[in-house]
Amino acid sequence: MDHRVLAQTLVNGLLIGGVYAIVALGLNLIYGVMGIINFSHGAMLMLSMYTSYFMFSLFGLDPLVSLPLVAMFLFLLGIVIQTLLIDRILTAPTISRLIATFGLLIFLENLALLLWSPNWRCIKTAYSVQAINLGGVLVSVPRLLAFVIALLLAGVLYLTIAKTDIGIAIRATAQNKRAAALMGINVPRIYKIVFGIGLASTGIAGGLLMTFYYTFPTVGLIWALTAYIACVLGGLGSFAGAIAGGLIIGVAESFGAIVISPAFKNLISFAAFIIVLLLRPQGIFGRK
Amino acid sequence: MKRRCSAISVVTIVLGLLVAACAPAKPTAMPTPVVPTPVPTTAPPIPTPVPQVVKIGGIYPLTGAYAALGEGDKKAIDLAVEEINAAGGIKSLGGAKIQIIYADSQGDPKIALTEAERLITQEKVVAILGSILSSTTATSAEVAEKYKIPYLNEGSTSVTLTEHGWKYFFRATPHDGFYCEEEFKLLKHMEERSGVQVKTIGLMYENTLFGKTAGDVWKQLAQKYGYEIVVDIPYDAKVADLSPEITALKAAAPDVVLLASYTQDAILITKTMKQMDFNAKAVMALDGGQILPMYVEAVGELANYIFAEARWNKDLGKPIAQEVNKKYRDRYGVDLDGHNARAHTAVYVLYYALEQAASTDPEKLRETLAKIEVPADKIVMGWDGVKFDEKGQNTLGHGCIVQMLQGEYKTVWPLSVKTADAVFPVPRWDER
Repeated sequence: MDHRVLAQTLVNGLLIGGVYAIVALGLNLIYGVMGIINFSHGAMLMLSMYTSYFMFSLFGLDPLVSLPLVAMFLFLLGIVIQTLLIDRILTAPTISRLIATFGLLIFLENLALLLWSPNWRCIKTAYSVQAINLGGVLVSVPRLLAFVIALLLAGVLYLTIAKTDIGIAIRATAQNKRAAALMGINVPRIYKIVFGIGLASTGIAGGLLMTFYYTFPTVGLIWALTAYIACVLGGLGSFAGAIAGGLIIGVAESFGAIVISPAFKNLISFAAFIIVLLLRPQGIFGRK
Repeated sequence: MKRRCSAISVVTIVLGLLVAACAPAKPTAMPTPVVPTPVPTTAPPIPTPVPQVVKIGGIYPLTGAYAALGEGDKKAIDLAVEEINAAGGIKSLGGAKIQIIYADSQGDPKIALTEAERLITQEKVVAILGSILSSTTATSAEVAEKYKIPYLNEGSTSVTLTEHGWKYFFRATPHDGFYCEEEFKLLKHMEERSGVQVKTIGLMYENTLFGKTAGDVWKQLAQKYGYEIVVDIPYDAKVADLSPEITALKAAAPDVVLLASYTQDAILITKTMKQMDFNAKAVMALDGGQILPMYVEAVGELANYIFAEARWNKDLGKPIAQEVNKKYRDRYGVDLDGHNARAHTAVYVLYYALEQAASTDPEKLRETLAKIEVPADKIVMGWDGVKFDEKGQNTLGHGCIVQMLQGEYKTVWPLSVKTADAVFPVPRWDER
């Protein structure tokens, strides 16, 4: 096999892995603090992609420019959903919690279908199909951006949780919400903030996706599935885990397609998933 | 924590299955198992001596998932019937008018079967038109065969439909194998005209029935036409990323790429080819996502120079196609397409058969259809005409291969109706 092809394969894998990671980040944060697997994650991603799309089609805003706006909108949406839905089911049995967010997913997808039709929509920007040529290896510009922003976002989230007052309150809530409440932490408020931040980072992921991908009502399923796998693989509730999980899946898929056969792309990434779980059931960075 | 992990793993797998279950279905390429023929129980209906109206059954999916296709065909059929009746109906039958009795198959083979039975025994239709989907055509044509009623199929392309030895079944459209072969014929033609040789081919197709069938047919045809397949890439149409696939394509560097894609993956393929700077002498898509306006809008100028098998194109270089399309557009606000242009054609084939047979006796109508020759200038399709072989397959059919040139699809094949010369080899991305 040609070295250039292998280098290209590695670059492809890392870049798409970075995209998987950024989609997984918000999901993992919410799970880590609240113990809720947000099954509406795909719908949130879809909503953020449509938001980014409409910012472009209605106001001419480039998806990179509208990134903070999309994140803000998703943050507010997160607070609304937390207040109206999640808050009320936090103490419900696990299965009810699963089904509630799953119901939200189905509802939002069908609402999108009704409002915006099943058509595929994408944003054409000057850089959406651009690539940088590094000695014959092509590096996709929008994916490189997504990759860099994913790392930055993970860093910022990590520092926020580790160093700030609100971060300490979040960690305290994650460890023991009753004890945290006794120490004067407003737990429902922390939950609102966490859900908001989780969705805001999903909003950033969606905005970045729109620089090279298209949106349609069930687009979430395509990306969210990989995000769930990345979270479990890397370790639930861990930022480093989301990044590692995303990268491993991206690289495994990429090499599987080139070294073995494109038909076995998913086989390789799922095999990697199963092997890691057999060796470390809690995921790479997960705690027992 | 451990229990949570395993719960999530289970749910993740369930989601995976959901994704797999949601794989898209291709309406026209469904081979269907057919139940053995029951013994005929009823004699064909006896026609009245001087009919005022000739009743023809029309089985179409008018509701359900394929309703849009059914509605499109119905509109084209209504237009054709109106044209014929306004021009004096069937002259050899004293100006009898054609009337279509529609039946809704809902895209369901079982419903198509019972509706065919109802049309024949209760509505006393003399012939049946139908039914878009190969699966519903298989079951309803079986019933027509049982009652000895001619069945004219406009657009079901599964190869097996004309392999049952049916005597009353006639298919106007070319079948799937034929459409694939048109791509190879065009390739040979372009090689000769340009002097540029094609030696290797890369295949890339979505991994459900539509794509896989195309992949198998291509492999046989490549052997027949002397091309080497250097890379074979089945892929999942609902995918986040196709850069590994395009990297594999690029590593194999085929002269020509053949695609069988739906819409979303077609968009992704084109964009990724550009991004990864993959160049081939030609990229040819089978009837699929690439011909839809949605694809063209999504990829914009990146669509330039792509070839697509469209079956029919609004620029077709023949007067009747332009005339009918204008009427259709004036009335319905959209252009005819590859599906309903074939339905319009089928009505005319049936009309010419009735005119020639000068009878509504199904037996006479069958005999006439078996030997009828409808010339090319009488139909809107870009075919050389309609003439059925002993299996009931039209032998004069053609595909209609278009190429995107300056933002518009131009017909480049067959040569008899082309509106532009194919650009081959196509310019590299950096030369555009």
